[in-house]
Amino acid sequence: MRLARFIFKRLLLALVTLFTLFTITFVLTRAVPGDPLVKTKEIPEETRRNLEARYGLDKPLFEQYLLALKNTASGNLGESFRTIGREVNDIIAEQFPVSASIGLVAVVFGTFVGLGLGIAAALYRNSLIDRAAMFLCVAGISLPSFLFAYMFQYFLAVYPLTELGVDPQTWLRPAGWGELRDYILPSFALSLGTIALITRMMRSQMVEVSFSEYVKTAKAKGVSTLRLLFLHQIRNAIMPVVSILGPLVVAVMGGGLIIENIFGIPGLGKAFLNSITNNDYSVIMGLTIFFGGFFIIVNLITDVLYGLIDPRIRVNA
Amino acid sequence: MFLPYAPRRSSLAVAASFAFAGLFAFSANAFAQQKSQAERRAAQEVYWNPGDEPPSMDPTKQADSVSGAWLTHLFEGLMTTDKNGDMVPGAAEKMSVSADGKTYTFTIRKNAKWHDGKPVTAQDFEFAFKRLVDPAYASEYSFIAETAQIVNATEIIGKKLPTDQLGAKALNDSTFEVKLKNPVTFFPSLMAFNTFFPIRKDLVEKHGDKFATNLESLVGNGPFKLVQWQKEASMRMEKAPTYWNAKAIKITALEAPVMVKDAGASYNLFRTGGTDLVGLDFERLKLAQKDKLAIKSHSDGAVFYLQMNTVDGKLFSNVKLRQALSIGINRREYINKISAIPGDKPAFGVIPDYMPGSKKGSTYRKEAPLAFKDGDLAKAKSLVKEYLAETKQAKVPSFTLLTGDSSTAKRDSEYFQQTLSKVFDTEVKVDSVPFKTRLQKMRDSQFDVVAAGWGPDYLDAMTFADLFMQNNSNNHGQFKDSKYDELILSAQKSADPAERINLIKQAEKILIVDKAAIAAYHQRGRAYVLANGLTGVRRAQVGGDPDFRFASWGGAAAKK
Repeated sequence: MRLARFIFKRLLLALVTLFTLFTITFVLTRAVPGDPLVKTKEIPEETRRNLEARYGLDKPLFEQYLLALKNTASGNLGESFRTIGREVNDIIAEQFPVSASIGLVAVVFGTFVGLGLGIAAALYRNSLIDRAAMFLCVAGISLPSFLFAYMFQYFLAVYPLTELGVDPQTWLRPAGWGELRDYILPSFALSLGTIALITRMMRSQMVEVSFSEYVKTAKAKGVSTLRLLFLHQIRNAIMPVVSILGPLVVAVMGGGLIIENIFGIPGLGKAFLNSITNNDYSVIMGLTIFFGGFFIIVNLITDVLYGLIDPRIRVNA
Repeated sequence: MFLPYAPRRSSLAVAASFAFAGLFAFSANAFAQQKSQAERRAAQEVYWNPGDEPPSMDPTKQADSVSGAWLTHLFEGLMTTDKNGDMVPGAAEKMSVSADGKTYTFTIRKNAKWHDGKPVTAQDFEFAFKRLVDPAYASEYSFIAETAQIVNATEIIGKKLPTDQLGAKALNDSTFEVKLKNPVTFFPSLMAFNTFFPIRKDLVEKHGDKFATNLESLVGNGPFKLVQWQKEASMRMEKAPTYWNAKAIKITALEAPVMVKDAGASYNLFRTGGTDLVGLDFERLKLAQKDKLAIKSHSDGAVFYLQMNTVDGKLFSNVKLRQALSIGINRREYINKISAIPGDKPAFGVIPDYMPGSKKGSTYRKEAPLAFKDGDLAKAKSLVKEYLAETKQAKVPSFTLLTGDSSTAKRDSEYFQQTLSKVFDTEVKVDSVPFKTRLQKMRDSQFDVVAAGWGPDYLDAMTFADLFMQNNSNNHGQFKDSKYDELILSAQKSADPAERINLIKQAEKILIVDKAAIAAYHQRGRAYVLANGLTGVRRAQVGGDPDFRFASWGGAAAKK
């Protein structure tokens, strides 16, 4: 019952958040100079008027706002200005699964590798493993993912194919979508940030936990090292790491904006980038609201799960 | 003491790498759909990376180059171009012109067929022409019907007359008649343009707003038919057996297995056989030279110019300053040192070199030469001095150069900032803004000088010349000259090709020399590479580009 009330309250708050997000996005897109109909070649006056009427841009701004709000609330996100006849709902339905699947592979892969590296670095503190892991973390966090994307594209695809004479049909291709192998390079490039983040966090948590009283007690009691590691150290150290998985999933599943353009991936990141350069009002709004909603829901799930795992932080609803 | 856990750690890594390898092995064997270049060569198939999803495959609404390139392969107008780019009959086998040059009659080929086997009729063209000017469709390119001067086009677009009053009628299934207000000498070449492709009424009625957005609704009459379309990911066209001239078409398929916009990724795609054509920007050009590729170049049709704001009260409302700017900049230096792409040419006039002249084989520029000494700092400075004396000022006020935020735009603006501050001996501020913001600032007249460009809509000098008429909405510098307007208007009405050229020539002299409203400087070139052995790919300045219709793979395989 308390959980249901908690979820209900959070969903109600979510609506307020989404409404605010909608309003801010509407104001910001309209404040940027140049509407979607401004093009290199000026659209002739009469045609422009006809187009404005078609898209409802001829109405007063407040009326446009109310209409857009009404449509968005009813789940109709409108039609793209740029790709004629393409509904924003279709863009999300077709392109989100692409970004999401790559992101999911990246997060799962990154989490496992990150946990492993983090634990190893903590256990062999100040060893070569630790230094290598920390170097990777600094690189993974500070270097932008598109840099890795270019490096992987060249060293893992172009170089073997052009210089080593590998058969292109049994190897990775530098860009493309539609074959299973196309997951590898982009998710690998996307996962580096996750690896870095998780490794660093896991390492510091493990170190912290190893100095705690209960670990000392356990050691004193003569608990086997294996048992100590899994039941006492990792179990406690992993909690904060779990809490960042939610936002991480959202961030990565949103599609690497640049990564998708480098690997030719038909995902939402590509759509988002295109919509912004083209002032494509309906797509910008649709994707913002979609991502906003997605973020809220994933966060809610994370919070609920967190409460289930760790009884200490249940909220008093 | 930590020994027991080392194996666990590695087993995790082993498991992960197994999963990774498994995913890879699975995909590599079972899912490799992409053909190797050798296989394509044998099957006469071509791969192309268009860079982007086509924004509109509806010929009436198409206004961008990616969709334009696909449509040229998918549809065919009354006229079309041959492998050299010369105008030849397309879906119409015959064209006749009335003595006054105002009525064109086309006879549709008996064997012109749609991809589903239905015959192409005069009604399909009538439907397409009326749809183009129909305010309900609000086509961005509807103005081209006004350029063609089709009777009542302007009135219909302005909602003053109903659509059925357009001077384009099917007299019977195979005869199509177009009536013009004035004789338009380049009318036949307009009939090859995408916007005048035939459209099937039954498909538009059946699919409504979804027309041309999916495979079922996109039926063409050209040499290739669309067989696969995965949005934002891939497209494939195959040779259409129904096409009347199918025997002239050598390649069996044109496919975009990958659509990637990034220039570096696109080059990598080319190097690994994922596309048979790739454009080279400045950095990729250096790479291609290092990789010893056979670099080709062409003019992409666009002309760039510094457009000056001539509105009263603005600095460049003064003609002497405008002239100083035009002679002050050094076009050859810009082409050789700054832009430096093969195919680049300096521009003095606004009409590019490839525009046809009054006779076959001649060009506008041969008949209307225009060049002057530029980079002439001494003369430019003396003009500035005259201006200062006339206005009793000690120094030219600082002014703003509006430009985009791309790396090329920034590079160019730095160069012009340097040059112009030397010419005018004053501070030149660069206002570097995102693309749409720049366009809006141009519309709002918020600039002194702007680096602007124009690509041709059709193959005639008029597509550049009419830009600078007072009422043209693209005349962002708001240049107003009634003599200029008169000359262009007379050219638009003239049926005599030589006289037209002469009128445009006089107008261009006013624009560039006497009034110096703009300083044209660059005819843009593009460098590109083709796969070894692929020939017959035509690069076009107008209409669909690249044009693979007459491409073929040569006999000998590449040596590599």
